[in-house]
Amino acid sequence: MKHKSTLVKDAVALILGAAAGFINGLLGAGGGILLVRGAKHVFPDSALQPRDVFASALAVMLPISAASVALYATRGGAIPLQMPRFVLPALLGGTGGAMLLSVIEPRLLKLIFAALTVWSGIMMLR
Amino acid sequence: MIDFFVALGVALLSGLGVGSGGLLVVWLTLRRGLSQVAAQGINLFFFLFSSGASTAVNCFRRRIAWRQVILLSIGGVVGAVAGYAVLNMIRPALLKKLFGAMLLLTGTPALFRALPRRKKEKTDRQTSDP
Repeated sequence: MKHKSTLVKDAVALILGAAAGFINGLLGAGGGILLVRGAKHVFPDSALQPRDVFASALAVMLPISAASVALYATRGGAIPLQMPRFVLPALLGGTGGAMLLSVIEPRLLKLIFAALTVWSGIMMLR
Repeated sequence: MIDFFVALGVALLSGLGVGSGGLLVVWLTLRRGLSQVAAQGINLFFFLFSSGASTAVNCFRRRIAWRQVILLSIGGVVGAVAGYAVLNMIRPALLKKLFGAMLLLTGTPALFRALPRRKKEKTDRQTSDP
């Protein structure tokens, strides 16, 4: 029975990963949130804390983003020349954020970020 | 210079688990006038380094469920190919609208979850007290 449950979780993981990859390949973002929302159906029931689940989801986004970048690179103009200037802030911010992950409870940041996301969505739809 | 700080802020939010939600795409399209596809390409490239740096730190500090990560990644790479194939079939204007819809769909529930819920928290605290 436990074996069957593992098989189902594995199948769900493949499907959830495919959905996250599809969104990332199509929209260049948004796959990570889907992984975090679907995490309870995939990750072990007891073994991981929410922050561990988030760290795992972030690790999944690495190969998905790499595959997407490789695909976008085949399309002329989709990988502009100004890209290298985003490398340093990405490395600094990514490292800093992960180091602060255990320290900060970013409740206010989440509220601001969510409001900013909704506002951005409205702006993009105008 | 402002691009540097915007990108730094987005990467920091992503590493903190707050999310990045393609805010860099919004900045690059609405403020820098880049095409939607170019902005998405930059965001993916940017996220490669941002999530790579975070994952490097998390490998030492957090427990990562590698088996699930591998399965999700296999599905994810296949999905990314399918997503990119669809991208090539739709018009840029529609792509921008889809991106906006994605932000609204993810942002609205997140906004409600992030709003303070004092009454419920108080009840939870009372029930969890020994």
